[in-house]
Amino acid sequence: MGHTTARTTSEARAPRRWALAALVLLAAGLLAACGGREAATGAGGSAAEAEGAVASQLVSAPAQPADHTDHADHSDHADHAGRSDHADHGAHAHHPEPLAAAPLPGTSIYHLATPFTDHRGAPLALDALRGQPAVFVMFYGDCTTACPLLVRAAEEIEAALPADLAATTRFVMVSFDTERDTPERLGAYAQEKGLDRANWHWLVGSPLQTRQLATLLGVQYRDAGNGMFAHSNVVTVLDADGVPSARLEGLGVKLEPAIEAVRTAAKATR
Amino acid sequence: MTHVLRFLIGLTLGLAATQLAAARAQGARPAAPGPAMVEIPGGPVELLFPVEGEEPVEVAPFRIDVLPVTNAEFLAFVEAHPEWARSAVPQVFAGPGYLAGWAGDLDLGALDPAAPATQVSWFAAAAYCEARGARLPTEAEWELVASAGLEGPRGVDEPGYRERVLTLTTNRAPVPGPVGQGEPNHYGVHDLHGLVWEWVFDVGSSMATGDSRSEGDRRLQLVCGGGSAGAVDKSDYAAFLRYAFRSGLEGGYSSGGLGFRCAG
Repeated sequence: MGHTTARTTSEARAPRRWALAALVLLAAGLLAACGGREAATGAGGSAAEAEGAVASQLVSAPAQPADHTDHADHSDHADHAGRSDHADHGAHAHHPEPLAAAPLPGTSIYHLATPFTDHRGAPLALDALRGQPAVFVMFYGDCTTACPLLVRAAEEIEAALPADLAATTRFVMVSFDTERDTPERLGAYAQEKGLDRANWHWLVGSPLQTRQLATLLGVQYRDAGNGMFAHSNVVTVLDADGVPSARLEGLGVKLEPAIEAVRTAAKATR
Repeated sequence: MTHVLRFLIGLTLGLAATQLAAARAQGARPAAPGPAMVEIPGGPVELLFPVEGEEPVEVAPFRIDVLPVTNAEFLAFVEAHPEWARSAVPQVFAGPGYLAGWAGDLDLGALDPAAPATQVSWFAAAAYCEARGARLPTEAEWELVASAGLEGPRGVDEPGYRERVLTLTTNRAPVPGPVGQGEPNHYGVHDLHGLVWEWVFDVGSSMATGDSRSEGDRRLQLVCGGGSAGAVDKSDYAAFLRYAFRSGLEGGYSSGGLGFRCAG
């Protein structure tokens, strides 16, 4: 391509540069649109991963070595220590106070201020969850395939935590189905699963709140009519300020990053 | 990385639009005085990429803004709701591009007050409509209105409809002009195609896998390459552009070519 090097004036090159730039942009645009799921989901993954087995994780919390001996003194949370299936409805009064009501970080999901309704029929503003880690899952009651596995994943995360940490960590299951999943129905669902516990919150909100939360959590869903929802399967760990620190996408994924993120978040509150 | 890619999509589309930017549709006329919203009777909408087994969406009657929300209207909203000012809004609700063209928190700067409000995130657009006692239109509602022709509710029945919409979509001015200059459609709604892209309520609904154990955004695969054979109507290229653009959006994103209107 000797003739290209021969053209040395910038006048001669300029149009070629523009053409090249346009081509590069076009290629980049096509790549972005077609090249990979990363562009759309924010989570790396090949089509094979998409088929449902492998985790795609986004762990932004600083990795800290697990310290199994250094459990916090949670004596002020005695109400939560007994993990019986009978919920202690009074337990909410004992949530730890946010430290000096510092402003929420800009990346906190708890900026979503409008209260949801929990399975006991009580309003719950997300920032009331501030002060300890939380595990968020979006699901719906009539979902028979994926959602039970998502709830199960949250249950397994809880089971893998030391008892005191498990008792203080919040497990927040939020329904897509704002029509059918009434608080009563969510309560029945929780009881049936043996998960009507003090630290489990089964929430339903308005269509707008639900879409807002899903958007914040990067959960895609679509009401397909006929009572079914198409949705992505996501488990999110939030730190004590409501900032996402681990995200598992897919079913049957490894839970360790989420468990580790809960530990890390709990340590940071001490 | 996703933001970079998305920016590049925007640039690519913008570049195409700029190069094609010939004169805007002749016969432009100011919006006739009339109601800010019009009644839409509703009806079945076949989305371009239905969820497997999904029936056409049956849209109930609703109302929609005749015009996109303008800069002046959005400024009034921010004045009344200072938590949505550029310097106050939490990062989760609006990324760095939010109202980036404004000269200050309550200063439109060089922007035309009558031009559509752009550089507005989905969260801010939804909050605007909520403050008005309205909401963003769903994707199905938006598509229902946008599928009307100049004479009737089914644009495809009118000769030249597809070409007209595609021309409007790809010949947008890089900096949108005032709202209401475009020809109203059968419902009396302006500027659905020729001015800016528009937010819809169900952002993040493009995945199309149903309640299954498979994951992810099937629509992107559908838009691209051989997968587009899954689309309901393969001849509507402007619709491909709209669905492809929407499927890449996240709630905190904003751009100078993306506005909104409210429904109720």
